[in-house]
Amino acid sequence: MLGIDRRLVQNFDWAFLGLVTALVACGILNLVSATHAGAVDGLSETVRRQLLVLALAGSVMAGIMLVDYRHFERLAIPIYGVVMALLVVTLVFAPVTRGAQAWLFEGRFQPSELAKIGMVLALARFFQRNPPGEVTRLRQLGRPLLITAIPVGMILLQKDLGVAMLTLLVALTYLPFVRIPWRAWTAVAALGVVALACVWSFGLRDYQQQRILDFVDPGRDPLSSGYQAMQSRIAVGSGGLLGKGWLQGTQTQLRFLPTQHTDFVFSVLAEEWGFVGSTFVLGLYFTMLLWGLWIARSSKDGFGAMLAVGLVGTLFWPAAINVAMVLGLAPVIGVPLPLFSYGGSALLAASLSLGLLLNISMRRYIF
Amino acid sequence: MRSTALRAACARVGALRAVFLILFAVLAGRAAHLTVIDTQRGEWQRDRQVHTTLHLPPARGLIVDRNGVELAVTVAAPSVYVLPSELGDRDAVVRQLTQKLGLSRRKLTARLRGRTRFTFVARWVDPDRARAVEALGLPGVGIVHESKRAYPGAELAAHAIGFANIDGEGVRGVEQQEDAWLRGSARSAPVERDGSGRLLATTAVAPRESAGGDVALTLDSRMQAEAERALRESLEKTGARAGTVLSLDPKTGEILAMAEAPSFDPNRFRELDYWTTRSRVFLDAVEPGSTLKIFLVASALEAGVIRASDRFDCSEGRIHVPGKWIHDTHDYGILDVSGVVRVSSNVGAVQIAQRLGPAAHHEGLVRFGFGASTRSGFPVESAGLLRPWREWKPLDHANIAFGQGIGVTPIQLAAATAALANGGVWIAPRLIAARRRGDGSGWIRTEPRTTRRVVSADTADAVLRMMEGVVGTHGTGRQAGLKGLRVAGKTGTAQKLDPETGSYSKKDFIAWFVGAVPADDPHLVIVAALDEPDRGAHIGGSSAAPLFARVAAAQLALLGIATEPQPAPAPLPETRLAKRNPTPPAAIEPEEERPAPHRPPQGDPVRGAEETPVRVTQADDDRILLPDFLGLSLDEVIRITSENQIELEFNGRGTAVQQEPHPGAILDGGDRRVFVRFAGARRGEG
Repeated sequence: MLGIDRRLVQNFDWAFLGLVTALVACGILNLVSATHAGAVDGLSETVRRQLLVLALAGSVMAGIMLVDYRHFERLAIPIYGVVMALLVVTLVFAPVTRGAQAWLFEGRFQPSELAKIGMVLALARFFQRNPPGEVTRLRQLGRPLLITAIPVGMILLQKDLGVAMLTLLVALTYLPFVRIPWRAWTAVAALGVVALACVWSFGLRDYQQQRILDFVDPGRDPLSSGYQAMQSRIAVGSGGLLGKGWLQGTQTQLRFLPTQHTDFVFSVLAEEWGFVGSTFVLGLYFTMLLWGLWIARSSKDGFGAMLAVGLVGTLFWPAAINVAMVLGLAPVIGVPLPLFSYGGSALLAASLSLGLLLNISMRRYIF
Repeated sequence: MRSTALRAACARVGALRAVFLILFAVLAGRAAHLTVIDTQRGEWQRDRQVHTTLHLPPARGLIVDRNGVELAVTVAAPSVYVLPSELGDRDAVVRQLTQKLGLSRRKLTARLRGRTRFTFVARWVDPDRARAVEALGLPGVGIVHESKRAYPGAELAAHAIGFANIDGEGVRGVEQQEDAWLRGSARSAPVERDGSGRLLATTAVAPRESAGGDVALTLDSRMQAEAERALRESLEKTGARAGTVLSLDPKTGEILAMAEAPSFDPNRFRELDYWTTRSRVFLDAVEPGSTLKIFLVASALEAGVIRASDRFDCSEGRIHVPGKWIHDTHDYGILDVSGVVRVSSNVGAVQIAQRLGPAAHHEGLVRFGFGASTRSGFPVESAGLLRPWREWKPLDHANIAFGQGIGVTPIQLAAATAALANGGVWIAPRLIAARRRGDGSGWIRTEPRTTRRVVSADTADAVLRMMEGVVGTHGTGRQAGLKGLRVAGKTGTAQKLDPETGSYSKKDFIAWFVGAVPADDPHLVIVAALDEPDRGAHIGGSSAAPLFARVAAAQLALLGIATEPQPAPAPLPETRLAKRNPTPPAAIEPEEERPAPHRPPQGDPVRGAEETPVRVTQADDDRILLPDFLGLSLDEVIRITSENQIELEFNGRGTAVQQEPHPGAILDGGDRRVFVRFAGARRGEG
């Protein structure tokens, strides 16, 4: 099970690792600037802790590569079960912080990050057994819907709307792999609208409704909930074409954005590196994700392909939503930017995804 | 199965890739929009919130008098503030603060309720209390030193100086007039602030550079003090409600003193009713009474319609104008122009006005500055009330001849009198002598803004000579006399409008005296006014004239001219005679009517009752001036009182030794009672 073939080393996806390393480097560099104000010796406590987690994440990534991903097909359901159990534990024992009940171990660990990967494993297993051409009826989607609904529902119960939506989006990555008639989709869409209306009325708390309203009109209350969205746009806009330079962003260094090292870290990048720098990083990101899709295509078995697609989804959706949020294209929902935002759970989850992708990639010639 | 899944996956991954690429394009496009295309807005908003301008209020400049005596200064006063969000135990803090600052706990609690940001809890507190609060070392409680205006002279020249409010903004008097100069230009320092609103850097500003400019007043604080003292004493003596004394240098228009009573302490402006701090000198337009006659005479002489030697028939003591009889207090017989001024004959003045005609009369008054602000620059100045001559009916015209139906401010009256004392040249009065910039450069004198010739020097001199007669033995203002000095002046008595009835009040008067000293080379023009004097005679000659003399003597002494008040001798024999043969009450003319409430200026005849040196019973339709009964026998007193429909109460026998009310008091129709005590009767007599 832990066999290391010489071919594995030969087929190691150095390009993908290179892309990841480049992104991680950019992320750390950016985080240094985001937390520069008031930092001692240039490196803030935030950065030191992030570097520590990074080392741990590297080990996790290396460790996960050693285990042939095909073992995970068998382990998918147990792992899913364990993760769901963790969510239940969180729901029962975790204290409420910042309006959500999503953190364990005194706010150091967020099980919902792991839940996405557990869900992806289970979904990959389902779609490996029910290839795209065969799923043509809505009722065939019962099991994947259940696999999705359990974590999404529990995260909603944790009052973590952003992560719940994100988990749902990750599951939707598999949408192109089912063939359902349009009429059925229409019914689903109608149900969805009704469900959304219900959620808005009964499921959303005041502040959550506020956030969505703020997205529609950020200027309506500049000192309150719309503040972050507005400050973010100002920061990005003031960056211009080439930016103000590393550590030179006035919005950043003067801390107009309270969450500039977490959810709004991309605005720091945009302010200091401008359009060119932020587009470059976005480009790196998408190259990495497209590379992930290439891994899916080049995988020699269905589970590997489906798992790779799902894993790319776990990286793609938070990145896209986060950047859209920073650029004022999406409501402010608490979604971190993988590899950039400060935060241990998200980094560890990302390292799991990336490690599994490398795992699939290096074993593409084995058969 | 594996191969099926694989094939399907390969086909579908392409769809996902397309989704990714589209999203990438959207995000990149949005980034381009924000950073490159729509930069203007982001940049502007950023600038607005990062860069801010700190306005550093300069220390407000000094106000000094013409000799450099400080009248208004700026001192630092500690204020206690609270940052509610940083308070620990709020109740404990409130308890300690109320104890140290002597505040009401309820008020303080209410003040802090719901506040999260910087809040003053006590401003301008006693330095000892501030130190006590500082010593508590409470988190979230601090002391800031604010600029506070202090007025060392307290009530001295309070109306002229005015005051600045708690935000250092001049809201009264010169503080308001010169606010911009005193304040100086606020130094604005560009600063940056961070997301929490903290300032990142403060540019040091040299304190002197940022100080406001200083202002020197034309006032002489010693003259001011003398005027205020004399006014206070006069108020006590006469029981007047209010009064003003205004001294001008007629050659420059400089206001040397402006005393107003009641006064106030500008240091305590927070406790004052704003309205009570207005300057009556500039704001209150009232009737000038007979003082206005000198400007009529000057205009008529200047126009050539009369000559000084012209004689006017003032016999019968009355003259008829359409709608009314105008009365004198006395039958003066034939008077020349100077006689009209001396005894203040209404009948003579009306005849002069009729010769001059309303248009020229109006023009003359306008030339003397009536009906328009003097442009002294004082923040609130009344233009007075002078209606266009075309609206004058003959009676209005006649009334204006002796100062009825026209409203003037003390400053207008002073400036007009100063024009006569200055050889006929009118100068806009002013309070500001010089200004000095905050940077410590030298004083820059202000020049008179407006001067204009009103009448020729000959005319002005001629009127001034006539005014000297007023202060002579046979004049109405003999109590304004000064020892060894020629004094020119004019008395006036104006009835006040009763706000309740809209007609002239029967008992409320304003006593005026305007004068110039020394008459041969006037250094001072002084206007004295007393509002509702009731103890002693109400007339200008007996209350305002002595006030004038006191002020003039004290102020001339400060100018190096030694003198003292010395009333001209009274023409006594005439008094005795008049007293024992009181004039019967004037016949009530059939066409004479009570003033209609909506047309007060038409007045009633007693308003023409001018002060005379002879104390005599002056009866009107329902009002009389009480004669002096002292020394008379009971029979004589009974005869006089019955002739005048006065109810007499008396006790004792012999000659009258005491009377109540005092001689000269005005008795109203409703309350014509007098009490006389007699003494020294021989047994068997009376």
